[in-house]
Amino acid sequence: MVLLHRRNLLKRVLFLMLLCLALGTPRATVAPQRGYRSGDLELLARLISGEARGEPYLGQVAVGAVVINRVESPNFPNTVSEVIFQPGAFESVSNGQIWAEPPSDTQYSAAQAALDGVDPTYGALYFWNPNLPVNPWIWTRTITLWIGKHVFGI
Amino acid sequence: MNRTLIVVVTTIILVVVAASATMLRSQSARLNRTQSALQANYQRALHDLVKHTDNLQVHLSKALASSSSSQTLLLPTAAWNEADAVVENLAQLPLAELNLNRTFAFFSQVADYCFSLARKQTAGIAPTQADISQLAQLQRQVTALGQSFHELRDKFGRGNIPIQAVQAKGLASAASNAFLDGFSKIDERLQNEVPTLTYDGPFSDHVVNRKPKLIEGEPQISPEKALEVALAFAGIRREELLESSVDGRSGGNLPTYKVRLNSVSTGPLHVDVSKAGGRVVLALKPRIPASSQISIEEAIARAVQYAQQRGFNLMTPTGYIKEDHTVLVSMVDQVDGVLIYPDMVKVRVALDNGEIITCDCLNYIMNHFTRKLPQPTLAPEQVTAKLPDRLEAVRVQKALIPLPDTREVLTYEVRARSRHTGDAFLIYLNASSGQEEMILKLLESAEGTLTL
Repeated sequence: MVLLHRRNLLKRVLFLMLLCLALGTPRATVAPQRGYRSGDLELLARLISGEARGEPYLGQVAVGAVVINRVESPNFPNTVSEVIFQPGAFESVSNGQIWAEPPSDTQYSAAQAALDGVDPTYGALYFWNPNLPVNPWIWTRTITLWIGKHVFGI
Repeated sequence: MNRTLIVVVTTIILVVVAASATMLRSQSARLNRTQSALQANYQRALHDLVKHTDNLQVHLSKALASSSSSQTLLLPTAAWNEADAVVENLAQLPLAELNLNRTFAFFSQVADYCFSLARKQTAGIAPTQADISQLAQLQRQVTALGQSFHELRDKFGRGNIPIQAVQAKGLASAASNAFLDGFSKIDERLQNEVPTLTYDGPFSDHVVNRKPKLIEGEPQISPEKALEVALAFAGIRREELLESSVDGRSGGNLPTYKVRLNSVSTGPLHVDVSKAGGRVVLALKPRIPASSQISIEEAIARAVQYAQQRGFNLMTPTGYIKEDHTVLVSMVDQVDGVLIYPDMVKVRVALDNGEIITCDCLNYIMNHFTRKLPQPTLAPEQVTAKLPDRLEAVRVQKALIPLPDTREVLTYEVRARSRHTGDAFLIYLNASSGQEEMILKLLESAEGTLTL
C-alpha cells in the first residue's frame, strides 16, 4: 500500500517536471497570415504595427511618414527596407515585435497613406516616447508633432 | 528516512539537472550560431564599406585626370554607384544609436553630385572649373574618410564587432564604445570641416531646406482663426460641433495648427492649418471603408467637385488608384492649357459612401505661386517626331513638371505606347529643346494606373 502510494507520487512528480520543462522551453509560434501585400506596404505596415500598435490613426500614419522621410533624406539609406532594418534603428525590429502580429486593416491603411505622401509630421526624421529614457541628443531635434505617446522631430 | 525515497529523489534531481544541462548546451550552441551569422553580416558590411570607399576615391581621381567626354560620363557614373554602395553598407552596421547624419549626407551628396555631372555630360555640358575644384575637394575628403575606415577595419575586421543586439541598452561594453566612438569621431570631423553641397540634385542643401512658396511672407493667424478655417474647410457649422481643440505646438519649415474636430455629421476629423496665411495643408478622417458601392468615375467626380468648392480652380484629375475600398485621386490645375504638376492636390474618396477621407494639399502649399509661364519654342509635332519608331504617340499635352532639384520645366507630356510590347509610358519632352526630361512607366490595371 505504501509503495503504491510512492509510485503514484513519483509519477505525479515526473509529470509535473515534464510539464515545467515543456512550458519553459521557448516555442516558435507562427501567427496566421492573411496574404502578403506589395513589399514596401507590407514592411511599413509591420513597422507601424510594431512601433505604434495602440496609437491613434494619425500617429500611425506619422510613424510611416518618418520612414518615408528617412528614405528621401540624404542622412539615411535610400530604400524602405534599408531604413527599417538599419540595425538598432527601431526597437520593434531589434526585439522582434515587428513580426509578432500580422498588421490590421487600420495599419495597412496608415502605411498606404504614408506611401501616398501624407505627412502629418512635416518632414520629421525621428520619433520617440518622451516618457521613456532616450539618447539626450534626440531632444535637440525640432519637434513638429505631438500625438498619442509619441513626439516627432526633424 | 526511507532509502528508496532518497534514491528516487536523487535520481529525479540528476535527471532534471542532466536534461537542463543538455537543453542549455543546445540553446547556447544555437545562440552561438546566430551570433556568428550576425557577426558575419556585420563583417561583410565593414569590409565592403572600405572597399567601396576606396573605389570611390579612385574613380574621383580618374575623373580629375581625364578630359575625354566619354570618361567624364562614365567615371562619375561609376563613382555614383560606389558612393551609393557606401551608404548601403553603412546602413547595415550596428551604428543606429549614433547620430551619423553628416556621414550619410556626405556620401549621399557625393553620389547625387556625380550623377548630376554625368547627366550634364549627356546634354553636352562639360564640367566647369568650379566643378573640377569641387571634385578635387571631394576626392581629398573621400581619401581622408577612407583612411579612417581602414583604421576601423583593421581594428574590428577580425570578427570582433560588438554585437549590440544582445546587450541591454545602457550596458554597452568598452569594446562597443570603441566601435561606436570610431564612427562618431568621423562624423564629428565631417561636421566641423566639410561644408554641404549645393547643386542640381534632390539631396542638395537648397532642396532639403526649402520653404513653402504659397504662404511665404503671409501674416501669422491666431488659433481661433485656425478653427474657423478648419470648420469652413470641413463644412461644419459651429452649432453642430461636439468638441474641438487647437494645438499650436509646431516647428520646422511649415508650422501648423493641429485642429481636431468632432461633429455628429462628420465624426472625428483632423485638419492641419498653416500658421502663416491660414491655409489647410492636410485634412484627414480616420475611417476605413469596408465596402465599395460607388463607381470609380463617380469617386473622381466627387474629388474634383470637393477641390473646386475649396478654391482650387480647374482641378483636372491626372491619375487615380484604387486602394482597398478607397480611390486616391491626383489633381492639378490647368493654366493656359498647361498641366501644373508641382501644385498637385491628392484626395482620397471612400467608395462606400463617396465622402472625402483625406485631402493632401502639401505639394500645393510648398510649390504654388503665380507663375509667368514661358511659351514653348517647339511645336508638338516637332517634338513627337523625335520619338523612336517603336513608340506610338497616343496623346500630347503641355505640362509643367518639377525636376528632382525643384526646378520647373515646361514640357510636352506624350502618352506613348510601345508597338512591340504594348507598354505605356508618359514621356516628358522639353518644349524648347525637345530633350527628354523624364520618362514614367504606366502600369495600368482595373484598379487604376500606377506611374513608375
